[in-house]
Amino acid sequence: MSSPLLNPPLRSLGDLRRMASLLLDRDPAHLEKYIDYLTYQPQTFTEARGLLAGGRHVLIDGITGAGKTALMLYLLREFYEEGFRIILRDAGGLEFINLALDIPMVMWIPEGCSFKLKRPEEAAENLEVAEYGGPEEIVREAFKGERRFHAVCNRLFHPRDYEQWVEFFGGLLGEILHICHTSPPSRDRRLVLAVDELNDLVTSSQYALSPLHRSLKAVIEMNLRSLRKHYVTLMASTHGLSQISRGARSQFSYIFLKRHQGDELYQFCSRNLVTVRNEVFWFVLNALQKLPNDEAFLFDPVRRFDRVCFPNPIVYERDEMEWRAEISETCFETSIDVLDLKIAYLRGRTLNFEEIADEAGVSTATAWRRWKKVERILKAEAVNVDVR
Amino acid sequence: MSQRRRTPLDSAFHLAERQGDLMARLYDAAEGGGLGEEDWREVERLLPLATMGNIDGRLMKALEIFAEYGLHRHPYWLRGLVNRLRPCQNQALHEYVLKSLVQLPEEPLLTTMMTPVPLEEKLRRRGWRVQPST
Repeated sequence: MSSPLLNPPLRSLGDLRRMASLLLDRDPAHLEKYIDYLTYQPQTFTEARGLLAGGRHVLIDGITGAGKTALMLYLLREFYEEGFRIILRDAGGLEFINLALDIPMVMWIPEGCSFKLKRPEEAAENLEVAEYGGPEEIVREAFKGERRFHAVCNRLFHPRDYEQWVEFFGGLLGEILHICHTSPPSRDRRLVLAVDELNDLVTSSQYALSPLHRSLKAVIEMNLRSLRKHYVTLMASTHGLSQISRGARSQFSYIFLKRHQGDELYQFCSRNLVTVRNEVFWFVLNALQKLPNDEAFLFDPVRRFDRVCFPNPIVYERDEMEWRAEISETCFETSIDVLDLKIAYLRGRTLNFEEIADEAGVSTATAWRRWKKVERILKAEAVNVDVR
Repeated sequence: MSQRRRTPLDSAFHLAERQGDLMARLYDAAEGGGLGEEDWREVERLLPLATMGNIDGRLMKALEIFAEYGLHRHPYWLRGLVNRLRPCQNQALHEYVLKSLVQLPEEPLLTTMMTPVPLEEKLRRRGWRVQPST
């Protein structure tokens, strides 16, 4: 009836391509490109199973009350069930006690202080309160002890001492790195270092509270790769993405975005969603500003993304618990050693800290810290000493 | 009754198919004994569909002459019409595909943004590129 040249059976895409190139009198390669464009759809499904393998850092970002700590507790439970050992830095909210309802854990408090949990009772049974002299005790116990969940409550007992938080966490990180660097990488050593409120410890570089803050930031950013190599997972929650520099952010394999507002959110989206369609971009930006507490956007290492939901693990708020904490004076460092005296003497000669560090043979940060300590003690005892 | 959703590629395919049908019909008539009145009216109906209204002045003139003298009965003139028609059809398809005459249909977004996926499934069970169950 009809000639096959003019009415060919078009059954497949290949047929259509040939037909179209015949009709359009165009270079088939050009047409190929166009047809690929027509059939292209972006795929944005994340791959999250690698997270539980260990060594993939996690960053959780969102505004206050968006559910950052809840998500962190949910993830920690998953890690715990996988057999990981966990060191959690508590930010004073004591939310981790919700996990103590069914996970046996150790709560570390400074030497000389005391903590007594009365309600909920089932959590009090699982909670073992231990005192630490220094970070090395915690790390030793965390790597070898019987219980696998360790919560470090430093901030609760030093509520206003910002430098002390940083100094202590720096020591903790240093101990972990020491163990990692003095033994070969091993998948058997499965540790999660969870830091609630990383923005307490690390500030954006323009607004560093002290030289200690600045140096801790540098130490964390330098050692992210090293921790990864040793299969230690760093899990951190922050209020702002700018706390961590853009370069270091790429070391975080998984980024969870909770409800967020403002310029930082726009910057993050515009950098990470360059490949998606316009309407998808605006959808994500709008959705992130009014996200429910039990949902988050998950970005994976190659920055595909998904909207995920999780059951909210927080049962008891801090107000609903009953506990009593006592702070003892002995948990503040009060003794002065020879090095302190030497630094005080050099400071009395109106040298700056770099010169003092050279003279005393220590680092600038140490010299600065020691001098602050001496200053504090002198102030507390109202001793008017002319160090000259 | 559900209507099948057409992708842009689908509708280009259908246009090409319609054009092929019309051409085949005219060729058959040109090799046989021309077209009857009924068939010619059918061809007149199909012509604007196959060319997407892309009819140039010379083809228009030819159609007027066909109507005036009843040339559809003669194979010779039908062959001439086919030759006139071919560039118009090519032009129509060309424009349809390249000059965004293609209306992009409303696609559902290929992400899980409308319905969030459970995080536990992401972490443990589900693999890559699995659609969320709704």
